[in-house]
Amino acid sequence: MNQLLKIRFFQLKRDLGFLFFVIVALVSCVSFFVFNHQKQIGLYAAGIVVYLFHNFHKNRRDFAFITKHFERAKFQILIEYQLFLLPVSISCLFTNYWYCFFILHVLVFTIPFVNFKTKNTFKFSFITRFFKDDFIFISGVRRNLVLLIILFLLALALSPLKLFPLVTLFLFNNVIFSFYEANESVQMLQASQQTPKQLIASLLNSGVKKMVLVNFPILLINSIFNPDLWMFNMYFFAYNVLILATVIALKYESYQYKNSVSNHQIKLIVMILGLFIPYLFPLAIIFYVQSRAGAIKNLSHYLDVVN
Amino acid sequence: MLSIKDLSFSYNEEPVLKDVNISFEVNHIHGIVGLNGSGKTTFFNVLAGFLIPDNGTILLNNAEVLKKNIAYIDAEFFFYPKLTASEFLSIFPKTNSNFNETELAHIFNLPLDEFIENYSTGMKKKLLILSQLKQDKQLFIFDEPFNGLDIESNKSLQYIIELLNKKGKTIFIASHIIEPLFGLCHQIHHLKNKNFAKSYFPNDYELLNKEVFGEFDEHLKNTLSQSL
Repeated sequence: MNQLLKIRFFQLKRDLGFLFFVIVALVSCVSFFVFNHQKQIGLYAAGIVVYLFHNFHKNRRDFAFITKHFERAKFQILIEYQLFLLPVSISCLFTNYWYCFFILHVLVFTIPFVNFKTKNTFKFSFITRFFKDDFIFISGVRRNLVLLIILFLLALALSPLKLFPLVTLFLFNNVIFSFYEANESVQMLQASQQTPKQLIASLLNSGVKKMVLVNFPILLINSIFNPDLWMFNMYFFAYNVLILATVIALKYESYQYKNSVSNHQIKLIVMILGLFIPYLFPLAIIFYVQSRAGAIKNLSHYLDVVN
Repeated sequence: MLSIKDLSFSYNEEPVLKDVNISFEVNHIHGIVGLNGSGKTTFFNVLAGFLIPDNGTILLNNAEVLKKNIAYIDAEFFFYPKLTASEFLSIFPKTNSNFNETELAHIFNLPLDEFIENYSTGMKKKLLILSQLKQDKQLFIFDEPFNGLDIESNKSLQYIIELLNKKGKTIFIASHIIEPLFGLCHQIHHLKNKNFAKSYFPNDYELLNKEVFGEFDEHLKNTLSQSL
């Protein structure tokens, strides 16, 4: 009945050890800080937390294994999510958003019972024409087209308001970040015929261009209607670019030619926290610089260092 | 000449290849045989540069082998999700001017408009082979290329390998199914006990069969007759 929790326990013990408790404490503090924030962003934060759980569930690769081999699989997943939610939800109880504790647990409760994996057979050939040979975006947009359209239109419609469009845009950008979770085969990597540095630069360049295309109009409208927010909007965009750069660097830092997925969820969550706590910005930059150096070193196993 | 000198590689301090010294003729087809776990794939991964050896050198005509000149067709492979076969192929630069995508896809019976995830394992392998043929590479490494292919594709692949060789490519093939290698390879090398034990020419292939698998066959027969 508790096989999944046992596996998680061994994984956390092996990968994080004592650091796990530090992360739990950090997450609880951040959660308290966010839910206690004077600008009343608690409900959006709850939405983001539910989204992160949903995203994790949608992309988890062990689902087939768990349902095949574990007794009462969905129940085990449910318990896992409820436990991992506790560091966030318990903090809510000590704020004005105490009711978010129940909202979070009820919403996360539903996640294992909703089937997100629809068999999408539409090719949407315009995607290929638009993105040409950018397979990361072709694949990512094809997988998330409906969600991306909804989030973009919602962000655009809400753009004159305060904070609402930023939360929606943040969710939109997160979907884009998820494009980099899949690994390409080593043959695809080598097809670029670039050095590690060139590859990382070209991927960042391509990703930023697409982010500008979506983020810029919404942030511009938002800044026109809310001139007091233009500085924050600039910070928001810069931080999202930093997250994108780190996501790319993290992917290739952990890239292995035999693994089809990159595992950088925990590091990414720590990175995302920096959006809520500006003091973490320097830490995020250090994080990026380290990951980039690691990525260049790791990619030198697969790409020629000189052209 | 592809020269390998004093090459050693270990996983977690467990040696897989030890003091390998061997030279391979370029523009030849080389078969690598050995039992499961003998280090064939590790040798290929080191050759392709994916794994860094503990020590030793690999030189192609006295120069370092560039990764961009190596075509690697793995035994285990994966593809990016939600891409069609034609989108996948478009990622690879067409440096082989003779490459005719439509014709080859037809020979291999590959529907290029289909999502790759709907392909069978054999079709995925054929697609991967096409992607490498599209590029003009010097060195081709095939790890268990005949596994999972139907008879027709197996035959086509053998012709392709012969053709590549005629174009001056150096080819390495690892296989635990030894028969397809006989008619194909200029030399077959036996990997055993972390090193190349012996190299065989076409005339010695009967001897190879006896030496590589004879001992194992005898052991297997004895064990099975006692265990079943």
